[in-house]
Amino acid sequence: MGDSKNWAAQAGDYANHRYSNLSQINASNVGQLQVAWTMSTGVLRGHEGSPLVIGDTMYVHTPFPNNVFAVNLKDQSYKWKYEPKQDVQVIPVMCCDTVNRGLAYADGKILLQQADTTLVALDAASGKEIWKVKNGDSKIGETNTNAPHVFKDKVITGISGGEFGVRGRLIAYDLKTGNKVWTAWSTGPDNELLVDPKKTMTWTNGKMAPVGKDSSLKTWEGEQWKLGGGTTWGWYAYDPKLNLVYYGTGNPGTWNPSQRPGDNKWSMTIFARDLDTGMAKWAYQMTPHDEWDYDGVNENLLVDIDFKGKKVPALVHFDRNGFGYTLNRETGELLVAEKYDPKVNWATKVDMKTGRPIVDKKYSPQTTGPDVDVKDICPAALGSKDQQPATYDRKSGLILVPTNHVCMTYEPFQVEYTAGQPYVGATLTMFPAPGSHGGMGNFIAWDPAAGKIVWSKPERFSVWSGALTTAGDIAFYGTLEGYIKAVSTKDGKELWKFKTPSGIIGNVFTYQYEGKQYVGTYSGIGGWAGIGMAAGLTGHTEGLGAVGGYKDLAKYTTLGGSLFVFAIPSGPAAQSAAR
Amino acid sequence: MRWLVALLVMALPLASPRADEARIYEVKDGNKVDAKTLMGWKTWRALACERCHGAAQEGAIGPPLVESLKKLSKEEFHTTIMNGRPDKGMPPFNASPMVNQNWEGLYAYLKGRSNGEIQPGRLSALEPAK
Repeated sequence: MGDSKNWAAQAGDYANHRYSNLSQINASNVGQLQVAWTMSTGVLRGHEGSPLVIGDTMYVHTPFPNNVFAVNLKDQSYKWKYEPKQDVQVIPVMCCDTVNRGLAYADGKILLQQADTTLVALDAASGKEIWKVKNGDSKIGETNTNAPHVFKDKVITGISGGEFGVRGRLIAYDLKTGNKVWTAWSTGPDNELLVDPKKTMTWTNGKMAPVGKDSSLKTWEGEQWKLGGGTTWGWYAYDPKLNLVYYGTGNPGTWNPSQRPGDNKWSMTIFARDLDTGMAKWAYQMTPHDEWDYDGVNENLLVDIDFKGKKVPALVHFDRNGFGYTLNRETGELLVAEKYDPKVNWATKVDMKTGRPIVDKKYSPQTTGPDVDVKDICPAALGSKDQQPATYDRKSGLILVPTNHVCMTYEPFQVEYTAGQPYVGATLTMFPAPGSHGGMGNFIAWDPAAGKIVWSKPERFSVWSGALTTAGDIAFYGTLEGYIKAVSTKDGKELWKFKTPSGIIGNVFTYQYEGKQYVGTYSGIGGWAGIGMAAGLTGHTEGLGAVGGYKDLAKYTTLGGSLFVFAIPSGPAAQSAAR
Repeated sequence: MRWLVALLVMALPLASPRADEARIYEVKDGNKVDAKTLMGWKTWRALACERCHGAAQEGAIGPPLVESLKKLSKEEFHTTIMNGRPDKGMPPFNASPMVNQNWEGLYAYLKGRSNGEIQPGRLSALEPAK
């Protein structure tokens, strides 16, 4: 992973920077980028995540059925293929497309987290299974979309199913054997949460204080925590010096807030846990008693910043709820919480003393109660940003963030739990943020110490692709229409774009092979924003409201499943054309 | 057009409603229904029936109820919803308080959908009689 020629982890590193030291492709020559080679994945659903590159091999993954191809970079031939057999009954219990966010690599192994909750370790050289474990039950709506992450000697994985009353947890397996080391639940009794009531800290009245006994149980009525959600399908991070793993938890069970009084801890929370034991060092709940489906799963970027004249080991998180948070990642102290989209209106601000949002009653489905349309809530349920990961430009210190600019009408209604059936309880419609540029997204640059937008580039649709920055002073991202774009990190000026056959929801990655730098991305529309197209839905409230909101996508793109790899042409003709 | 349907005699060639099925729901403008039928629709929504039977009861993984309800008797409907059809993937709903309380309203709602008199989508309460 230390070698910038490789792209050995989904984020390129443990800290979620998605930054590369490579600079052959840079602001002055990126306009010459051309397609070097392409490859079909053979699957027509949403393609999230990115391939990995280790040495002369690229490891490509697909959405369900989660095939893996080891590609020889010399001639793009296949070294091996792994094609798991999975029960198709898994598909209907995946809320927001059959995506998979990619593979992990360590110690000569490729780790695949299948949709049916099977975690497999493959021999990176042969594709043969080394070990295989199951971490959930799809019959009760438990599935996986997350990438497994390898930190030190452990494989960390989570669970999806927040729309099916699944009880979230993070699970650590031993990389060598596949034996389970610990499970840390998001809701429930202290011993299952892996919190120490006296030692696990949280932001309380302007300082850190112990969470206390039964910190989760106290915030639920009866046994509702058993259907409590708080699923863990995002990107995780690891600080080797502190030996802490960082991740966020998702929405509490049922989207109808009236049915689950209380703060519903620890849904919507950033956890810092000891990698070896799973014990929580600190926790911070961003959206207590969620009323909008603002999952807290988005990635945490570990960056060191100057904050009020002091060097601080920080963690930066762009929450679905529209606030960009900066915390001290060692202690858990809250430093910054500011809106990263000026249209965010469900809360006026975050009270820096309590750490809680000040909710505007006008946009509160809890206040209005069931069966009432709450109009013009910004952002929509899919957040000012969903899973599409941001990138930290180590040169400028800015974070470049792919965002959504979408609002919603939210009607909560009563639901009953049946195992394996959706447990949602809200009807949604989505639309571009009113009174703005008319588009549904922005690509922004964010100053994490000041909590301010530095520049913002409007986009027609949500930017649902993960971004990349490089030492070449450029940032890359994809759009739902199918463009891959390069922009200047200084001002967001567009320097290059190329239209791929389908919408891009994958993450842009880069590597070097035989002395040459390449940039690549998957092209394949889907995910929550593209679910209408991916699953063939047409009703405007279907896809949890995304089908109507993103209906115009059909004018620009269609289903696809391919990998695109770009490079600067090196022949003499290309050189002269560039002059 | 404002009208009130009282399901007395409908000239359906295949399945004419029996006398005891008369007036099982009231509907106005296609989307305003009596209290019992409204609770039937809310039960439909609460149990996420649309996931298998489609948002407009047109069928998906499960059969189209707009068709099934033309043939299914009230008793058969009751048996099916309570016991499910586990062999075909339908879970039993006999443990659901809402189904136990409102299954007749749900039957009325689905009859109205099947007869084409209740529209798909959101419903509201009929205003109280003046």
